[in-house]
Amino acid sequence: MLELTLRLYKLTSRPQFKQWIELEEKKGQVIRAVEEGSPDFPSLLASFLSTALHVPAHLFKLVPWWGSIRAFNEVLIKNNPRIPLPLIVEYDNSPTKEDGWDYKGRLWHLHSHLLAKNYGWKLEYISKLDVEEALAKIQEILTDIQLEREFIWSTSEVAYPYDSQSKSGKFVPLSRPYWMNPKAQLPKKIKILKKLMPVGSVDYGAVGEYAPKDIKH
Amino acid sequence: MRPKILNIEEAWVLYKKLGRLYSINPKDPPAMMVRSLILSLNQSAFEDSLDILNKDWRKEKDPVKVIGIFTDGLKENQLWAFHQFESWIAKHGTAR
Repeated sequence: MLELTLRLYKLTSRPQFKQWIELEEKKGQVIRAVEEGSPDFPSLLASFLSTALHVPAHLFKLVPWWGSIRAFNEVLIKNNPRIPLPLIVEYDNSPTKEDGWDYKGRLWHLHSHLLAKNYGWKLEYISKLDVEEALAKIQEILTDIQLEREFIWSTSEVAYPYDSQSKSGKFVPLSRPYWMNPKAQLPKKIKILKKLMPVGSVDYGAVGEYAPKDIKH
Repeated sequence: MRPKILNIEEAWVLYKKLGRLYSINPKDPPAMMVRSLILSLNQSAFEDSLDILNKDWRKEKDPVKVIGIFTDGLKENQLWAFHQFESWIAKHGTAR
């Protein structure tokens, strides 16, 4: 039964924006439950799968545990956005803190509010948006907001705290969210002169992948 | 007695009961792991685990066969794979 449902699920189109948001919220709850070893994990997983596959949650009491885990994995793979947006690709290693105004189901209201406010789209239209399209627009909105904040910050006195050494105000930029930070670059390749290499014979066969390949003669 | 195939609810309860022991060395071959599990479990944890794996275990009088129910249940349910899932979540799953 689950096998058949999963096969049908693979054939159906990917979820629209509102359902995707709902699944993301439930995915977060499942992950937190696993991390915390919560007894709610099975019911949260069943709720996630029930929403994704449109089957009753009690069905997952009838299938082996690995079937439920496999279904979870399949749904995650299918729903993963295909574009490498920094907003969703970059890893936020700061501890997540819950705002006082957070509540269950807020994610949809937050995202639909951003899109409706900026583009004047109706909620029904937003709910049916393609996931990648909606996320890309949200990233642009958030970028605009941040750049505007940075401009206002740069015109403010608090952005130039007094530096006693130079006896003048020194500009301190407004901190950026994790996804706007510059990407980590690979260290620059430096060519080493042969005469600066260690003296002696090197058994390159034994060195393997660590053999210096860019030696300037 | 055929080992019972656990659903996600039963598997999670049992895994949490045994999980700390599983995580000692997840690379242990299953048979070795079952042996070390049996040696490390106290009687009540062992009985609780058997209750999940097969409610009828108390009808079995031979202690060797009782241990067989436990080992077969764990092997058939591949419960050590739960540790891989948990590790995967810890590595990739951090909620955004």
